[in-house]
Amino acid sequence: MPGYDGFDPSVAAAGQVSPVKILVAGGFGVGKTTLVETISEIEPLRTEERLTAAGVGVDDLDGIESKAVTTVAMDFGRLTLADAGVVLYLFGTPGQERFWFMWDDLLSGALGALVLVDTRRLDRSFPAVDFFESRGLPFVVGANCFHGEQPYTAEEIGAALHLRDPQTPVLLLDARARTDARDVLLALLDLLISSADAA
Amino acid sequence: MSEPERPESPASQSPEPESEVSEVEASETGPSARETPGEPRRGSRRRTRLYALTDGRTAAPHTVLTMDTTITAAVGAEGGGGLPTEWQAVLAMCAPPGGLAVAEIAARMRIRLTPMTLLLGELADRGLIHHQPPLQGAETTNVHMLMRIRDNLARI
Repeated sequence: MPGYDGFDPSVAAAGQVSPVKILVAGGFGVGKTTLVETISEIEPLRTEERLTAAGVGVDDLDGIESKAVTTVAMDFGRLTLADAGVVLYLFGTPGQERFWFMWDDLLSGALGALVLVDTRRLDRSFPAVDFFESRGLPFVVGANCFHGEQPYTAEEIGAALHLRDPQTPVLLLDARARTDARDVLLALLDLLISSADAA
Repeated sequence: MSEPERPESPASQSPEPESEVSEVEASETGPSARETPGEPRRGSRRRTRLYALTDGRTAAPHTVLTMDTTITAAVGAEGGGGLPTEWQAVLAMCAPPGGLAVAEIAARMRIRLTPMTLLLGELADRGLIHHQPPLQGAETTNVHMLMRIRDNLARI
């Protein structure tokens, strides 16, 4: 062993910020990566993970493929909130999130989620809504206004999504606008605060 | 299967001066990812075998990290002379005080999450990096913590 002693590696340096995960879901083409890009302080990054139905293994078997193994890509950005001592990591999939249910490390510890919907293709966001409802992860809905227009009200969109909790916030937003991206995150924080208060 | 990727032995203790190359490449991987949004990044750079990255160790590290653990170098990259270039690149990337999340190191190193997590666990076992766990369940439901996040967010 190299002699780098004199500290306990399980104790992090003082003053460091803690990472916090927020998931961005909603199916293909609803603006997830756009939203991450809008709010992130870095160019969004992509990482990959191999998942199997039995969970994530430790072996990295290059070139050996099987039907039980799926490579899932993940786009993410970050936003440092120094005064709060946290750095928000926003994770979204470039495609659909149908493999997320196998990805325990992704969900574990997540603060909450944003579900983006395109009202022209509302069905693409049903799996994300079902998924977070069944896993009990708090989420807010953001209806992306493509071309700056939204023919439906937030109430109509919420009703059409058949949200289990009718109090789930639904916001109209433009994923390209930083204030809109911030507001949907604020709505998620408000939801988390009110449920923490109630507990 | 042939083994063309890695001619040099990472376990070699002789200091090798090519570490800057690896660091520069690693720091430039972020923007390049945007050029081909639909395409996975693999294949664009040589792949390194996991057992080579972990210095030949195949046992799981004692330190278990998650994708959202923050990693901070405990030693400078220049103090890691003789270490494999990938290790030096990681140390340079997550220099204190900031540090980087495991997922971000994986993305910038172009290594998938599981191998990256194991490699970082190995570095943690050797005392080369510090690690800061993500907020735990009690903190993520703490009203005061949530309000601090909200207030900070409202000011951006």
